[in-house]
Amino acid sequence: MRKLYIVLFSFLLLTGTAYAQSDRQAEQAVAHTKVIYIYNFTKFIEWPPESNQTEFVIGVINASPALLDELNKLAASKTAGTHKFVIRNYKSANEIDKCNILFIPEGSNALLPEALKKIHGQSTLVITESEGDARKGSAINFIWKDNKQAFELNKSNAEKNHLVVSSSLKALAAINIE
Amino acid sequence: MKHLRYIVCFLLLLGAITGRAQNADLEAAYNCIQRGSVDSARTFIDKAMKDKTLLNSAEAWYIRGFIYKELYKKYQSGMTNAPFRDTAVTDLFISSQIDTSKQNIDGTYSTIKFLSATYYNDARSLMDSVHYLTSIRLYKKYRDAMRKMSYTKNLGTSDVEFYNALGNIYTNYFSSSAYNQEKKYLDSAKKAYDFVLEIMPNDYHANYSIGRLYYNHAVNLITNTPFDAPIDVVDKNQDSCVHLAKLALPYLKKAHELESLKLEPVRGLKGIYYLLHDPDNFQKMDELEKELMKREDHHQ
Repeated sequence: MRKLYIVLFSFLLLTGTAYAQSDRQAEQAVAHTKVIYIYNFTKFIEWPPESNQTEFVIGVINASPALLDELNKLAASKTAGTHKFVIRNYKSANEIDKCNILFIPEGSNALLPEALKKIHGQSTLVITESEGDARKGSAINFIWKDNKQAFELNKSNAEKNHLVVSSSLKALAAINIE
Repeated sequence: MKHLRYIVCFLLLLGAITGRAQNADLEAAYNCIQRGSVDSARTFIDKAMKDKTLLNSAEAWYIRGFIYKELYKKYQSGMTNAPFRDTAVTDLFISSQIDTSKQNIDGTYSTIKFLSATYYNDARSLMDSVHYLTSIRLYKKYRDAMRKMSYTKNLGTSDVEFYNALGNIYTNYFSSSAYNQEKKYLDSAKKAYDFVLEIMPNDYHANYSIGRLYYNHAVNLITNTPFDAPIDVVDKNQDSCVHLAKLALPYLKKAHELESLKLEPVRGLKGIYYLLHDPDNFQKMDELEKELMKREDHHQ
């Protein structure tokens, strides 16, 4: 019987053990969802013509490797209308320059007030992901609803930055902050 | 040689019971086998079996089974499609059923076990992504034969090993299929692992594999969503992702419970909690992962 047991055991050795995607893959999936949303926002929001240069800049403060990777994949495969995406990863609010979208991830939310000062007068869509940030100046704030990524929209914060928000985006928002 | 001893004992025994040879061709087949002339033995035994009176002879079926086993060894050993082997097994089982005294059952079963082991070995060598269907067919033959002899519903360890391996093959197919749309592979993998859990609910590999299957599917579903997918599609995919992550959760928890020092289920759980946005449990798993990694480093 011993011989048979050894033979039986080797069935699994032949096919190996596949492993679960690591938690990094989960992080990648969540980052991917955010970038899909961001790309969608470019279709539902109008930037004033003077802000349309040859590039469409997405700036992020302290982007995680997963987020940066997803944004770079977007830039490599898609455009915002006729404009090429350019991704900038700022290490501090001080580095922020002219950008069409500024994303402030949860870990950097303390930099929101400083970031708002830096983009003052520019046509920048500010996206955050911390509770209450849509009331503190961002136009779009990612939230979790029923274990899913969703977003709240503060249309007036977008309009303050000369952006025109489509009514369709309003309909897609989980929460609209007036 | 062991089998030849069995045949001699069997014939002596049956000869004593039935008053010896019932058919000249059967005698000739037996004599040929004793001389090692397996091809001539086949000619005689096939001729003998046309005699309807032998259809109820355990002796005749046993001799035919034995001869076909020898033919298999001579001509078809190592071949996955080996009709001589199938015939031998069938004949030997018929013999065992007719042999109501069951006095030679050990000898008959010993020969069947030898042939079944060859099914098993062939099934094992073919358990890969190209030949797995043949492997299934051969394993079923092995399984049927072993179950008939042991009267049990399943084969315990050997079933667990086989169906876990089969589940892995389907999982690999599923993982490599375009956009993971090949749901049939997911279903087949789940079915194979479920079968293992029916036999052994505490099997670590099957629990971990089902958890992994759902979790990986959840992740891939999202990462394969194109950037230009409309928001309602993203929302729908997220619903599916949450559903799959919740399906994975109990299996990975169980795997972790069974093998608390293994890193893989902890990493899977960590990923699920990240997907479900459960920061407290994510944190717990993160700490546990670090602890286990330290432990691993310490042991290396």
